[in-house]
Amino acid sequence: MSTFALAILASLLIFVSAAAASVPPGELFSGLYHGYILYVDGSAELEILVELAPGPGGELVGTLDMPAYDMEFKPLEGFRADGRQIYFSYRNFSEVRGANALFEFEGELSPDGQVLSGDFLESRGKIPFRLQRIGDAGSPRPVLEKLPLADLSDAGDELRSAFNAHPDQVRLILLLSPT
Amino acid sequence: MVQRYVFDQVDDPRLHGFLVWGPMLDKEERADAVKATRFLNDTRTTHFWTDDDVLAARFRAPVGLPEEELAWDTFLLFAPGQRWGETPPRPAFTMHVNKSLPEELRLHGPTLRDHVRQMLDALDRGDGSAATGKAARGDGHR
Repeated sequence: MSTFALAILASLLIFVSAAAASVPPGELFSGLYHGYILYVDGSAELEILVELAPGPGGELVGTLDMPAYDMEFKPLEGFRADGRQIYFSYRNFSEVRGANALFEFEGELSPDGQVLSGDFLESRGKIPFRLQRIGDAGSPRPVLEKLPLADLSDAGDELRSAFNAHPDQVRLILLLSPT
Repeated sequence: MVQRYVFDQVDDPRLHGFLVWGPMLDKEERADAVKATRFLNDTRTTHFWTDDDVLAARFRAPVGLPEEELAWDTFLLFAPGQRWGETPPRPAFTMHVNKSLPEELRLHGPTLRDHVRQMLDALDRGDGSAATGKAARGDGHR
């Protein structure tokens, strides 16, 4: 790459960083984000929703949802922002650290403002997280509809009948605990 | 995981999922299962609740688990053509969480998705039943 091209690239990077720094954090990060804490990518992932918005004085405020734990609108606290870098935390019971343990997010917003990614800090150390912006702050949460639940007899005849009713299909049977 | 990597990424009506929710930890209740249906709520799924371990025990042999282990936390893939006879059929492919099965079969969403796609691709090619040999029989091991 020529020296001239490098100089142009450097200027653009400085401009973008300066642009991010000049936008109040409450506005820059504002939005509803959906994604996962990636304990093991593809194998153990925890779904979360994070909502960030400007507070009354323009400071950052926000909440956290963890659908698997029936956690909704958990207040986030300790906000710090520097350009596109952000830090926030919440307190909750930890099986390892007890009541009111601190859980932390250290992340960076992508230049297009659509992806917030970084590390989630808990007793097991740093776990990657990745969030996709799905709407403005205040947008309705995605609704997870429940499906009908049929009771199974001991022999599982209802499952067997349903399984054999679709012989031309690819079928998955999952045997799971609901908790 | 299965919703995200399989049902969200395999848009094919020839795929169907059967979720059997039960007391793996001896404390779960039907109301827990009602709530859990939210997490795999694709229209191509059917959800069941069982309040005992009978079905998890019946799948022990087809899945290849030892006598002392129930088939909870297993993800069983069956090919077109497989039928459930007197005993549950052996899955064409199995994944698991913390069972006495090969480590490489530990649940991995993209891997399960790829096996589903392979079966559907076989159907598209007209390979007939994607099940072969013992896995096709609906009467378990012999």
